[in-house]
Amino acid sequence: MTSLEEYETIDLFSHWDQKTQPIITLDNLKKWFPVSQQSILFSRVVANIKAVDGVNLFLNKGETLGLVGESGCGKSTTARVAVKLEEPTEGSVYFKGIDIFQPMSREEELAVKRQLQMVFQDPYSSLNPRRMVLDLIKEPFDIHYPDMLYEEKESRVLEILAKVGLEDYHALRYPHEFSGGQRQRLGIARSLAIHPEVILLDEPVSALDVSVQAQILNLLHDLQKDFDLTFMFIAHDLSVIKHVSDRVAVMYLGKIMEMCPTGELFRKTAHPYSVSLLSAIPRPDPRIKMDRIILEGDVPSAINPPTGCPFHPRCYKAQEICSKVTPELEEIEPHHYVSCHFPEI
Amino acid sequence: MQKTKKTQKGSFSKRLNNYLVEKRLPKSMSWAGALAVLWQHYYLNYIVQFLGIFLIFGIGLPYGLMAFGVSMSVDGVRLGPIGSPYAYFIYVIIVALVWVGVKVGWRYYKKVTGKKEMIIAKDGTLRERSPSQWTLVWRRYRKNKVAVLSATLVVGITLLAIIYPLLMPFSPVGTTPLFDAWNGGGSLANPNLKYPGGTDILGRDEFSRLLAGSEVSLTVGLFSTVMSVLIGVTLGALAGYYRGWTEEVIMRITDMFLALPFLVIAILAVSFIRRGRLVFLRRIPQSVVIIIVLGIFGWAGLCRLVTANTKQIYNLDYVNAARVLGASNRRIILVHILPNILAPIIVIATISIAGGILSEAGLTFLGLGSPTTISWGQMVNEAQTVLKTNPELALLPGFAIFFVVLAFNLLGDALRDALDPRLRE
Repeated sequence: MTSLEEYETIDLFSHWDQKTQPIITLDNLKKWFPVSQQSILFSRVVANIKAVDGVNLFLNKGETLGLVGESGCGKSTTARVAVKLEEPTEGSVYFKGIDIFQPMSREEELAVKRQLQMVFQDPYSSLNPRRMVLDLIKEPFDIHYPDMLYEEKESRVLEILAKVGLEDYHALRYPHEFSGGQRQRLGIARSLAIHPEVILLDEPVSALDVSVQAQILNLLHDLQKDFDLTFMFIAHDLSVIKHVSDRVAVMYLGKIMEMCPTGELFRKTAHPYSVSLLSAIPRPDPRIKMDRIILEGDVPSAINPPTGCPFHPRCYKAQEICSKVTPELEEIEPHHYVSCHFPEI
Repeated sequence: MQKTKKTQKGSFSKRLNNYLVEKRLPKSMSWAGALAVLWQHYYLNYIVQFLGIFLIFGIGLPYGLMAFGVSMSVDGVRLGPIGSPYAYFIYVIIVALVWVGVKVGWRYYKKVTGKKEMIIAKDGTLRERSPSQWTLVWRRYRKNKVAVLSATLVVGITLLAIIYPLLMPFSPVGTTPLFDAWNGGGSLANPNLKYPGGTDILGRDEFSRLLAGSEVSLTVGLFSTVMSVLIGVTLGALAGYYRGWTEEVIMRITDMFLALPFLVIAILAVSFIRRGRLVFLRRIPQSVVIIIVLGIFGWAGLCRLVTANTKQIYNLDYVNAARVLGASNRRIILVHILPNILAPIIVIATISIAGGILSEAGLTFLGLGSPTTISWGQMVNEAQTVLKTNPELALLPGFAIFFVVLAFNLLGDALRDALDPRLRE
């Protein structure tokens, strides 16, 4: 079978240098959802839900970046903006050095989408129930390679099904005939079909049983090696993150608190929020005495986040400056970025 | 060598199976397909089917009817669809050709879209394609007795509306019974053996008119629904998909149409087209006028439903996945959204056919019909003056309307149960 690269018609990313430039850069990304009050005729914007409020992130080719945070802290929204499902309020997303939100022709847009894919959280709602699996997995080829022969599309579908650990004849079934884990495999197969370079995984295992979680994580690991993929892995489970990712970014209220290599997060935790998160990991040994840091209060509302550092009302190290000046994400050690006035190291 | 060949020929079912696998055809292929397998020529299937249709419609039906004493030419006027006996056979040939054309087209479609029907698994077993959602719907539907009954009724009525010229004993517009007063005819005759529905004021056979009226009723019901479904689904899908200003504008227009008093507007519109100042509009046939009016004023409710359903589907992850894959808006609407909201659309459309039939009857009853068009509402209207002496003239078309509307409503309910079992609870 011919390689998919032979179908490539335009060359958008020739100036991109794999060694020096990250593959994806989120530059001061903001996504605010307006809350509007409906009067009889007109609606007016009363407030903004600041789901993502100035996120700076980068992904290097071939690595896995884990994005952790509590529910509602803007992880999924970040991913949705990064794959162009939402328009950002401010800031931009660079994919291989190209701003994906600049005006583009349809061909250029497709060229970006060929390389930037996403796997969704809920395996039950992410597959169209009316379409046969063959059609589901064939759809990327229909969109991106309309001139490809049907027989070739079909053999590629069967090939990709085998890659994610499904049988040939599963192609003739409908999504409702599969279990949750198998459905997630189908979702992965669909995003993998056109051989993208980056896949954003939006909590791909949080809806699955623990044993199935392990299977899917191992599958993802194998696929990353086979296809030379770059992952952004969103999760709220620190043990999963520890297992899969090379680097971790910790998010809180729409901002990145700490970003560092995975080992360093567990050994040299710098941000007070990360410290309290790590102290909440259950230990499977009852004899270990835990010094749990229990955060007081609730997560503040994203409509009206605290001034200064968003974490300061619940922080055990907060000083007066924390409520006034917003800390910038700074590199305190090589590859270790923290946004805190008083980091632990 | 010869022996093996013989055994291969002998096991017909095995060869049939092999042939079907080879040609990627479903196992449930027709008897003609089996015949074609015998001769190793697939297109023979179509030839055989063509002959079958030709035999049934072309020769069987007219002779069968003649055997029952139903004459095909009444009053010297040929009642075939086109008017001459030769034209009738041309008509049958066209029907058969269309039938075969649809079959060939379907096969071509299957080939182009490349729906695989079976795959041989690694262990050598043959895995057939899973039943599609529509197959499952059909299986659920078949279990429901009322559903099957209503579908039979609707199909029967539709067939009747197509072949009624063959069944009419007299011309629906001819006044032969008027001059047949000694044999049960005349004007305003009571029902008798020769004129089973009696005769109307002008001495026309009521039974023939009843049969002829089915055509207008069903045509109006069907085409007005097609029109309002086209408008409603298009606007609704656009409003639900694009939101923002598009939705705002479309929904306000929908609100306007929902606020219109339907009957008043329909009466105004029909009388404007029929008797208005724009003379060229008067040339439009009566049933077309009513189709247009019903179609234009009947889409608003469906549009709302489609908008709401589209918005609901829009937020699901498979639509997001399609957008991430780079699917065009048209593709998302046609491939991902519409098939998933088809169930309520089908149900509403079926019930709206019944509504169209009722509205047509109502409008013509109110005197907005044309005296030259045979329609049930028109017949009730004309029977008003003789209601005391000849109530059957009003009752027969009235009951006809009642049964047809009931059949379509039952069909709608049954379809709802089959398409979405959750809606029932």
